[in-house]
Amino acid sequence: MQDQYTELQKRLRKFRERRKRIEFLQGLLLFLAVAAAVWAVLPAVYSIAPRDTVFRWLVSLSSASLLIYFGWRQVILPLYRWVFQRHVPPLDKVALEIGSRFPEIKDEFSNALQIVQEAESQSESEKALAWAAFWQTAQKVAPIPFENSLSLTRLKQHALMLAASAAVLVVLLSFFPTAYQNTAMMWVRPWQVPPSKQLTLNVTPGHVEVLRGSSLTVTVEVPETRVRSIALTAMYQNGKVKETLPLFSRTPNRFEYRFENINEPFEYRINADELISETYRVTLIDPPDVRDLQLTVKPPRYTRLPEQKLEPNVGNVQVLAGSRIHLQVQTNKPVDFAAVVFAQRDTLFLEQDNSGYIGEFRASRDDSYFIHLKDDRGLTNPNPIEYRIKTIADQPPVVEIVFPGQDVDIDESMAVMLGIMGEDDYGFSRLLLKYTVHRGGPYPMQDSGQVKVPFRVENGQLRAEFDWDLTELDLLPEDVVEYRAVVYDNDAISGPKKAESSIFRLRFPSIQEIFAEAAQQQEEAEETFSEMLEKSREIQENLDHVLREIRRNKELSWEEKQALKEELKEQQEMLRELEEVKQKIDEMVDKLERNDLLALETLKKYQELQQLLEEIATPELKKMIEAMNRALENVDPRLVQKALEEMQFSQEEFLNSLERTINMLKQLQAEQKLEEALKLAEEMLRQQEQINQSLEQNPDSASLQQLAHQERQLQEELNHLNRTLEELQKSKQETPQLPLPEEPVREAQTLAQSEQLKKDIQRAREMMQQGQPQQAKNAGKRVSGQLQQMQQWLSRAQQMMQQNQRAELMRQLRRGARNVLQLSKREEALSQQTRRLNASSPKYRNIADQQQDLLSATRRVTQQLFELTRNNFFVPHELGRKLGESLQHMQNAIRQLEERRSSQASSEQRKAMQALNGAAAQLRQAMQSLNNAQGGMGMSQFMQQLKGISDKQQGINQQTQSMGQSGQLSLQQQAALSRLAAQQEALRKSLQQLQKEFGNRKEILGSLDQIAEDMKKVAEEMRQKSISRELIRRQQRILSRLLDAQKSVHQRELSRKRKAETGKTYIGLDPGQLPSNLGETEFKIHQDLLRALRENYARDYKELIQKYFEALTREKRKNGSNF
Amino acid sequence: MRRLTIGKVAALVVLLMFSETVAQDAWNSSRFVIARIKYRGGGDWYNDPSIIPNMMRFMNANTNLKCAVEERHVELMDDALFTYPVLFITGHGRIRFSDEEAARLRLYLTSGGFLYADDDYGMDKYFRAEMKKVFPEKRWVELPFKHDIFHILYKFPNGVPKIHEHDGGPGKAYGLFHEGRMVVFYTYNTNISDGWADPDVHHDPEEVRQKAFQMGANIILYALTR
Repeated sequence: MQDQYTELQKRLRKFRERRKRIEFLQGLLLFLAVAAAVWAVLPAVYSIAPRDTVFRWLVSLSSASLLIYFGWRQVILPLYRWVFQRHVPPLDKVALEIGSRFPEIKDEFSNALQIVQEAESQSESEKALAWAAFWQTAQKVAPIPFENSLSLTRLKQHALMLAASAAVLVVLLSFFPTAYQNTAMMWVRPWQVPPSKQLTLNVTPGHVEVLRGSSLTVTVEVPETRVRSIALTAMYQNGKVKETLPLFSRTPNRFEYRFENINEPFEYRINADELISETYRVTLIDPPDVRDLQLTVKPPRYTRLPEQKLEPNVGNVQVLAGSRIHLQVQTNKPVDFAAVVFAQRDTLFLEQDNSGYIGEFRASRDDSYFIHLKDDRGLTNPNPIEYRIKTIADQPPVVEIVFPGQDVDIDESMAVMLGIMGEDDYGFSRLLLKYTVHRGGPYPMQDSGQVKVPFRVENGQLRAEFDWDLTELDLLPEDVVEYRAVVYDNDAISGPKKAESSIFRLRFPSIQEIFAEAAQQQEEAEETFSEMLEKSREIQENLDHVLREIRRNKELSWEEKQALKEELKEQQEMLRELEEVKQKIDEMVDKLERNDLLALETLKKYQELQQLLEEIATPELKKMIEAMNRALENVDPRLVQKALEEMQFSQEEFLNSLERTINMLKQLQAEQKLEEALKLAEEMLRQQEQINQSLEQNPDSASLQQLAHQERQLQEELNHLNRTLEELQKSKQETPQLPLPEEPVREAQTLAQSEQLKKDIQRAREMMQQGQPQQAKNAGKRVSGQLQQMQQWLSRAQQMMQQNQRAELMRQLRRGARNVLQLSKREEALSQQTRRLNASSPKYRNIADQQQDLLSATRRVTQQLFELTRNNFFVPHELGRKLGESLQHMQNAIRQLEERRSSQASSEQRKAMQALNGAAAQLRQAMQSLNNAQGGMGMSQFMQQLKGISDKQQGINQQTQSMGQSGQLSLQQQAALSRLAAQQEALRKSLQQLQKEFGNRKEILGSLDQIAEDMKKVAEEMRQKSISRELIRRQQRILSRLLDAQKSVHQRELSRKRKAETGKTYIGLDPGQLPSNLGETEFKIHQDLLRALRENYARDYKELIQKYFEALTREKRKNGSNF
Repeated sequence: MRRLTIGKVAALVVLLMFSETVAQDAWNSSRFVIARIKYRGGGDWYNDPSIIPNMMRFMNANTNLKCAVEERHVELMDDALFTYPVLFITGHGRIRFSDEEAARLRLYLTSGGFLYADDDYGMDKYFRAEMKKVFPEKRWVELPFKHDIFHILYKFPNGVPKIHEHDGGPGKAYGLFHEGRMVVFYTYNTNISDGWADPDVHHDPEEVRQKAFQMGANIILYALTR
């Protein structure tokens, strides 16, 4: 019975075990089926909002919850019960479950088991009874195979469910693996976008290598057509610098971004909404390139400009044509070769050195270039910069003759001072003075030549002061020299460029021409004056007639009045003509002066003549004519009579002045004729001697012909001289008062008219024409001899005439001295009488009258001497002061006499006498000076003495300088220097004596005081036997001042006659308006251009400046501005 | 009252004299003065010493300008050159400017200075040549009669008045311009400044002298106001 019980228990346990196993398997299958089903639908669920994180969380959590629930419920719990609750449920419960499966058993089996289990603690009977019950039940149960009563249907169902859901899952998975991959990712990491989504951004080119400086286009293709935002993130410097760049849409799902000029490596990725692409790397490959470019401009050597190192990496250059340009190129990496590729010339390959790649070329014209590099991979430098080479041409120079700057006549000095100025940008090589001599005469010829002119350059400007000696040109009268300055710059590249100044002319007027013109004007003047004289006489007679009529009839008829008005009109017309003549004479004298054709005496006489002409038309006469005109309008005959009487008086003066003028003019004409003859003879002699000298030098045939031409001109000049001498003789007859010595003039005329002279000239000319210089020379020497004699006779004639004039001056001085002494004696006598007067003497009045007479006499003498003083340098001006003092004291004496003060009056008279004695002493000194004078008069003598001093000073200077140049002075030289010091001192005394003799005329002598002071210092230093630089300089200054003083005095003498003459009224021509350029010139524009280009402006500025000036010049020319 | 010692009196006198000198200098320095250029070359730069003081007297009497009645001399290289607003140059003969002097005169004139040049007969060719050194690029411009210098105070409808005869014909007035401003005024063949001399120097009629002074006043006023 026990066994059966155990058997049943065993069977119950088995049932229980099996049931738990089935439950577990069922749960497991169900769980797996549910899981498969969930996973089958999960992608679809996720796809509802895959990028919605919350949704993803929701789906993930709910699906996970579901699976956990099922897993717990269907797998874990059954498993737990199966493994860990092996005795649960108790067997009676298991039996009860079996009873429920089998109706015949029902709960019997469970009850039986319970009774048995309870009987264990009960009595045996009860146990037996329990066992019996159990036995009965066991009999009933035992045959029932309740163990197999467990159904597997559900298990199978679950297996089918699993199979179905798994099959679906597998199918879906095979079709949508990425979706399931993303679903798995989303399910596991709902907070992340499923990684499988990155695969949807198609980025090209991805990882890439690019050339530095090149561009890169990144293209992104996005499967989804709807992208809300997309951007590219570029990361530089290992992600330190990030830059978000927008992409541009080409098509709805295609985006692009272009990187330009990539110069550093970087990484990038694409962000499309929440999607992020892989990070790609862009790596750089560097092509060869120019890292540094350094240009050095080496201007042509002739410009003397320094090398110019341009700013680094400046490749455009503007240089003077011919400049060398040195290049130094540094590259970013070693290259196989580097070259300069020009647009218009061969490529220049650069050489490698330590500093990079170098090369040099000459810029001779405009061009362009670029640097070409190639590395070992064959890569070349991309987009090389093309640089420009702009060459500036060396500007041509400009030159101008600024002085005299006009056509001028050459005077007898045969020298002309030229002032030349020029300008260039880089300097000058030479300055020439080119000339053409246009020779006159019957065979016009042209000689051309050039003279090299020394110059200096200051601040880029050429300056030259050139004293052009024309002596070498052997100019003959009427020859014209055309000259111009030609300057060459120092352009050694394209050759020196030259510029020429304007052409000016020098004309050498002939003496005959000047004299003939003067003579013609004099004749015209004389003729005019003679006509005036004739007319004036008529007017005078008419005036007398009218006056007589007025006195007789006391009334003038209308006709008489009209006639009188006509006379007055003619008189006025005459005055106007007089003015014209005077002006012509002024011009004539001026021309004669300039050509040094007037002796100083003649010049003074001309001044007197001019003064006389000034006085003819006196303001009184003009006033008389006006008064007469007014009177004629008046009806009162007494006024007319009075005006006529006064007019008659002035008219007489006018007549007298005219006669004096005509006489003076005739005398002057005669004197001038003598001067003309002398000058002609001197000139002919000079020319003949010049011809003789040329003949000495064995001239060629052409030169002989030219000399023959000159000889022919000499013949013509001889004819002119003859005519002049004839006219001189005629003048002598017309003006007997002229102190013209007869004999020398006659002798000169005889020589001039001699057949021998004519024959010799003729022979000399023929011999020259026949090419026989020796015979020509012999004849020429004979001609010279005769001309020399003639010149000597004429010179003697002039000297004699001057002596006669000096004698006349001496006579006037003597007379003046005699008069002054007489006045002095009379004053002395009067003084003695005055001293003896007592206060009540009645003789006061008488002595006062005598004093008054003496005063008047002294005034007359003073006036005479004043005139003498005014025109003569021999008369010291101190004389005037002394005479003035005497007049003053005499007036004082008269006043004292009127107040009956005898002693004071006598004192004043003595002072007057002393002043007169002083004046007499001055006159005696003047006579002494006149006696000592060897030639010329006053100023000429002064000039000669000054010249003598200058010459001596020059000699001393030269000797001193020669000693100074020899270094240490020997004893002999020291002795010589002492002698020179003595000479210098003597010269100083001579100068001071000169100053003393000619009075203290500061206005004439200028700075002679300073010269004397310098001489003193020089002499002192010489005595100390030292020659310093200062001494030499001081000596040169002395000489310079002496020469200046001479020139200044000479100039002043020429200007004396007019400088203080009060001007008349002239109405000038109004220039209109100021020129628009206010005196600026195109020359100035060019100058400014050259200056501007010399400045250190940047090349671009220089280019601009040049263009500006060119435009300016064009504009000015276009507008026709007068530069 | 304390007695003054001799020493104190002497000191007081010296002080007063010094004060007087200082006051005089201050008075003069505040007044307009023309400087005459002392040039080299041999010409008589110094002639007619009475002209400038006379002209200054005329200015004091007839204008509101206060002038020092004196004449100053200045060499072109003197430091004081630029202290004079107006320079005057005249003479009969040679004038010589060294290159340095020419450059300095140019600087003076282009810096606001004014030069009045008056040919006293014979200066013309030398002066023009030297001025060419100063302004090689400029040309003399003959001034029209309507130019302000002939009308600024006294009216000269026919241009520069004729004072001395010289070469006959009307006088001429020229200008050199720099950047539109006349920097040199040059009178030729008239000799305005000779008309400023004492009456007994050239014996000019009073009306002629007056014209010279009036033109001088115009020149000075023009120089100071333009």
